[in-house]
Amino acid sequence: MTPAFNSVSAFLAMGGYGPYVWTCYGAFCGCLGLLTWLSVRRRRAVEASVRRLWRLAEAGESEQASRGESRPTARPFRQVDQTRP
Amino acid sequence: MWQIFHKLGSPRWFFDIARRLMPWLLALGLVMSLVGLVWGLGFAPRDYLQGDSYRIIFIHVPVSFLAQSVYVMMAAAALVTLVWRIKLADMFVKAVAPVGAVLTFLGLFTGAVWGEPTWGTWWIWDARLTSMLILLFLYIGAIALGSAISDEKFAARAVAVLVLVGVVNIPIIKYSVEWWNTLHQPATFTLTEKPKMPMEMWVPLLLMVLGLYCLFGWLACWRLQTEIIVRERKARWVRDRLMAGGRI
Repeated sequence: MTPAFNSVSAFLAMGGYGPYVWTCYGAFCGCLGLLTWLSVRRRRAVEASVRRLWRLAEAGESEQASRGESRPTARPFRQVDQTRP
Repeated sequence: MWQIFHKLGSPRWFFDIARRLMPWLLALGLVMSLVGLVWGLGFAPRDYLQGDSYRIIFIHVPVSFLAQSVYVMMAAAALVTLVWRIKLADMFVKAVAPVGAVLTFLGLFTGAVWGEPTWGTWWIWDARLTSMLILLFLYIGAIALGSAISDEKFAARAVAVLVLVGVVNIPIIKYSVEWWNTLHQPATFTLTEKPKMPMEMWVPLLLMVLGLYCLFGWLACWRLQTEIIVRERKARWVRDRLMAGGRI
């Protein structure tokens, strides 16, 4: 297989269509990269908040148990929805 | 058969299947799309008419193709949501709608940038372009409707109905280049005919399409898992895994 371009500058120039070609490839990598980054960030945020809420719920549970009260409320869990972007 | 169907609908079961599948999807997707990218940009021969501007095809066709496939997958999931009320199907719609919207936007954007030097215009109200724009609005509508309704079950059904009604747009996109006299060229991929372009252009394009499918699969699994954690946050298995630390 032979390269379609003789030099790096010819490759970057894309036969005069450089701005068009590189704009498209830039948008492609940029948009998909951003989407992936946001997806990873949201996952981390969701994991952290569910972990925190379970800790809260269980802390409440043991506190109530020591005071001899009945089942704890599940109210802290509602806050997870607010972590959505 | 029905047991498998319902097992597949179990969020926990899917979560683990996805975890095992994801490394393969990511590796395969990255390898294929990187090879396709390098091949298409640096090694595929120059087009005799369009010169090097045609190299935009290596992203324009895969993203547009995938944008439509994702919608069809979403519509299938919407049907499952309405008929069988399987939660996982609704979560899938919610998880992939933004991905579809980004892909459709990229298809329109790269098409516009390609159209400028090739057609002399970046936008024209041509059947193919207009129906793709409608696809973008359908994706945005599904996202907006889903987040506007606070009741989870009602939101799921409303979005499913919207997605199913919108599926009528898919054959319009596909056949727009045949039914109407459009500026846009006819289909690049057909199952029935031999490709009209030389193999040195067609193979990298195919690699990009397949690679992007795998990468989509990876991202869809990842986002669906996130959705599962949110909806199943009160489940014991989610709690146990999160509290154990490390990867869930």
